[in-house]
Amino acid sequence: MWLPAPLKAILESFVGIEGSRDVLDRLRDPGEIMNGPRMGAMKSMRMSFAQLLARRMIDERWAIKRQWFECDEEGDGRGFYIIEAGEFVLSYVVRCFRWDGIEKVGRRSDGVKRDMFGAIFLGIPDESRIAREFASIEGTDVDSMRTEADVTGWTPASRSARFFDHVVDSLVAGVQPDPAILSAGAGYLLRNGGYLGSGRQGSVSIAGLPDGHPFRHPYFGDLFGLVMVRQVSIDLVNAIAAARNPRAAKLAPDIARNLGVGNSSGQGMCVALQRWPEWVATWMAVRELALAFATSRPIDDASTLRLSGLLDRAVAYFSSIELPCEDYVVPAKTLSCNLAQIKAMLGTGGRTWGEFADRVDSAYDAETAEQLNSLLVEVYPDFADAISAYIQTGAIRDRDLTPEMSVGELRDILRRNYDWALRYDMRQSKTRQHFWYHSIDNGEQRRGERIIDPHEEFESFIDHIGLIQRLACVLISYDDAISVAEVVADEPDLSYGIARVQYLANDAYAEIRDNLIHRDFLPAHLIRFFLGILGIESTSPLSIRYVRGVFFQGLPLPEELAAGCDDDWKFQIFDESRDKLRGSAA
Amino acid sequence: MTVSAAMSEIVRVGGWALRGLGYQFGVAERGIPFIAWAEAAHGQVIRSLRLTEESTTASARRPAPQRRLESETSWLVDGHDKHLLEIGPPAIDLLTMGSRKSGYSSVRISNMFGLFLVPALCSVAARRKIVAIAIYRSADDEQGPDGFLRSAAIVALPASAGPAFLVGTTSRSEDAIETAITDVAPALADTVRAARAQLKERGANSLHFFGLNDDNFSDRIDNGDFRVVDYSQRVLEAYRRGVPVDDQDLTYLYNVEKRTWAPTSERSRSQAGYGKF
Repeated sequence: MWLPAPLKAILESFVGIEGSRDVLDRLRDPGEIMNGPRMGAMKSMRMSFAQLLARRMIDERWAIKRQWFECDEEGDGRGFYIIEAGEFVLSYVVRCFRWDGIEKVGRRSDGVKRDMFGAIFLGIPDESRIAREFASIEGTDVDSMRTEADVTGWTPASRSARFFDHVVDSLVAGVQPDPAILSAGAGYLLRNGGYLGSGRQGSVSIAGLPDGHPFRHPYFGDLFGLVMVRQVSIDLVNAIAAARNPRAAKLAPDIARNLGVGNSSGQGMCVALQRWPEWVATWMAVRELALAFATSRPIDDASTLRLSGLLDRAVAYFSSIELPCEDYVVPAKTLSCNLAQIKAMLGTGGRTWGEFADRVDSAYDAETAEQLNSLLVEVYPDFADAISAYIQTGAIRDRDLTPEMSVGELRDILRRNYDWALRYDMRQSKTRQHFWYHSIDNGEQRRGERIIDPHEEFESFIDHIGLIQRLACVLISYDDAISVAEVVADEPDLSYGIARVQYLANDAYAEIRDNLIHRDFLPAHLIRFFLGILGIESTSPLSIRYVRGVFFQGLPLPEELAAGCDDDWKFQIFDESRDKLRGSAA
Repeated sequence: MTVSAAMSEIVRVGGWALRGLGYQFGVAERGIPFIAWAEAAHGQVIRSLRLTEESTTASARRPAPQRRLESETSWLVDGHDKHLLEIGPPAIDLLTMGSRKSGYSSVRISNMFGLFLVPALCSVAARRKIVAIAIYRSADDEQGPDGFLRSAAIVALPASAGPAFLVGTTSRSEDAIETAITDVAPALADTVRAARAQLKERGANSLHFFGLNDDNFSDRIDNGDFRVVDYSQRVLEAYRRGVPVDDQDLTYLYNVEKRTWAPTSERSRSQAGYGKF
């Protein structure tokens, strides 16, 4: 299987040319894994974006310094932070609003109804600029709220009402909140309202950031926004409690550390995956190569010990969590039991980790198998970290057309890479039942039914099988020697499809081999996949098109980042907090 | 009032706005970066879209352009009164294809509008390492940004920091272009002269593109009578600092985007993510 040159070079530096062939032989067949259910089973890995960002923050000892934070008894207030992010400086302003008693789940249709709004600045703005930004984020009309190119993005967020109040009430009473209650709520106080960056509302375009800036890495800006939301959640409960009772307790670090940021994602994520297939191709190439490397390694005492420890932590973690809904997932407790059984299989034979993984794959469900795969990658961190660098470069592609390519050459690529799409039978209406559209409710992405629901003519692009089949049909009407430039001159609308086929020609994991507009397709699969890529450990679909999870539970706190800390914060659980609290004063 | 719009904002919102004006997904997806580039390079492009909405919308429904090979390396495209945001990029594809295969080529487009996109189109060819030359003249009634030259000869040269642009408006600059092109591609001599002749005619828009696969063109052309224009630098700055856009024009872009948003209803709300099914 073809590998991008940078990945090939790294692989050969680790195992030589001969060894590379063994690893490449272990790469999984895209035909077997690039489908909704299997991708939905894939787990957060060492090279998921949250983990990558955290590692950079830890390695560079980012300093998140609260300059001031003031609020009243109801949480109406403001704050300002300065962040030293390696060689770059950022700052963050936050406006917290008095809670209106309405639980907001973080949907785009909620518009500007949020409980807090933050803005990340490049550098440190002066007071008048800060005042201008506060005036913007206090607006009530989402259409008129605008920022400037010195802001990387806005971070709206909303309270998890029940658990927020429990924490504040506990601190006011001078005690720590009950970790059991917090873990039952999946461990967060504020819920992500959707990062508004990358040019939205006038924020800076990613391409306009300085070279080497951390936010040039895909999703680092978005995820750092969540890091700040998490920090604000901690500071806010402390400040509200102090406003109500000057002798209130402060949230203990062991509890604060296990708080993350709630997140709910909808079916719009499927559209993003389809629109930017080079992202999927890059993420999957890196993940699968890391897995192929790990499974090509011989089983030895050191790697067995490491995997055993990771399995113990995973068993404890999945045993401790309670998902709000387990209709579409392998239940956490089942996952925990399965991983415990897998741990018992260690030392029972097999020469390579690949043989071990194959046994697990044939004996257990896909989620259990993929969780093991994620842990196997962790056993070989050096290789995983080395190839992770490709995630940033591989996702930036020249999506330009190659106009001089002939129709015959393009058809060869279609035959080679898209036989699965060309052979897909789209005749029955159920195969084309759905389309994605934007709603007047703040542009929220929804999924309608053709013929019945309006605005099909404005459907979001998601039907790549239909596009490929149309392209193939049109190409047949041309002589093979004709250039694609001439085809595009006659059919300008096909330029997107032709360019897509061309620039993905060598990417093994380029396309999702599933029909996303089929009646029976579950968007939740791909939403879970995307959230795993972003770095959520455990995702829970609340419906077939809406998935919840928590980011950054267990991430070291700012004081720990600044002092230097271990980059292993995976699978933190509240039970550990409870145990530590039993031995310490409130 | 002027606001600062982000380049990626113009692309994101504008892509949907072009759908709202009636363009298909592939055309909108391809056309909007040219709109954003041109807005950054010389401004008022969104304004031009707003002021020509009726003709732009009508052009989306017109029949597909017709192309004809006039010689081995020269194309004539009848644009059927379509906007260059739709037919310009494919014309550059023909130019690129011919230049890469034969070393040079030309594409003449008749019956089109939106000439303010010419520098953006040349930029794409230059990023493809093709020297792109455009000789154009706009009709008296062609709506365009203030200050956009109604006729000119533009040269876009491939360069590592982004294409370098020379803009000429005099006979001397036309002479320099004719000499430089025919040095490399004598077969294009008549076509260049025809393009120059059309510059002097009144009437409909005229547009000729020339493409050359020539690494030495910048040494070959006498650029004494040209103005160097920093379009590429303006675009880079636009990514860093945003693009100043009239509030009315940005609001227009957002409003046209919203034409692609479906009305809400109980059924529509049930098709959102939240909720059991």
